[in-house]
Amino acid sequence: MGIKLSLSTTLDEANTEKTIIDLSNLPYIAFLKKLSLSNNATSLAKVQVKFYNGDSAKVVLTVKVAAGESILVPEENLPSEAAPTKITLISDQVPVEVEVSVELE
Amino acid sequence: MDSPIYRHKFEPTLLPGHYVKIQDKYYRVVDLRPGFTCEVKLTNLLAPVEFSTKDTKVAIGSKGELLQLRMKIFGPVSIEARFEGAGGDVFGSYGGKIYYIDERVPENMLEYWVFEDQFGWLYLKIIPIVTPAWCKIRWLGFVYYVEEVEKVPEKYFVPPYIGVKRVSR
Repeated sequence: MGIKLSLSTTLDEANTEKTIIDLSNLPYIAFLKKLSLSNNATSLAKVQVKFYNGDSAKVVLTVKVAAGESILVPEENLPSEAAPTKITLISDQVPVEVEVSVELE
Repeated sequence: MDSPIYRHKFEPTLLPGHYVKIQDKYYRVVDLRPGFTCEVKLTNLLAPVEFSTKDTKVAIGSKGELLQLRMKIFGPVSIEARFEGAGGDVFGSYGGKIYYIDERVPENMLEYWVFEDQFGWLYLKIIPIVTPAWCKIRWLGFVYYVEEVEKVPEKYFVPPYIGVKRVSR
């Protein structure tokens, strides 16, 4: 059983990409357990979840949220692999409110 | 020889007052403590990496300490694990045993014994399955404080790999 963390943040004009958790200097890996998005922008938002492995990043999930809508990504659609270094979120529309839960192993 | 892949619940094999044979010498267990969990994470692995617990001073004992360790591997890697039986010049020379592990292994898959920082340490070759790969290794275990005895006890435990002194060839 790992350490569970719940975090919330907002992607806005100043931060269209945000780091959810940075494990660079910690011996943990992170599993994404919950992702909830609320699109407060006026058009469809495409939100991407990126997992970093050292300096290399890959998009592990892309979620589209209609304007004014909220979405809770089903757990079975979340990536089952772990993020070894960092998790970031990036959106092409802002503001988007984000709630995430991660489990650290 | 027993396989280091465990099949039983992780409990101390020895208790204070028990005897153990290490490198053909006999020791009495004086005390027993749970060890700290030890973790190492390697990221952005593009090619095989070598990792020695002795060189990195990870999961090795201090003077008079006998460690009973279990380890778990996380990550998209395969690992060649070699236990250094009795020191010597050659890495992993003990019987040339190599065990392959991947992320499907259950918690704390390998169990092995380390005496001080001299015997039983582990040499790992971490091979990426995908690139870039990452790898996390977790150790947990028990620490036995032992003292050498002169008289050969009637009954004693022989830990795998480090119990008998290896003869150089």
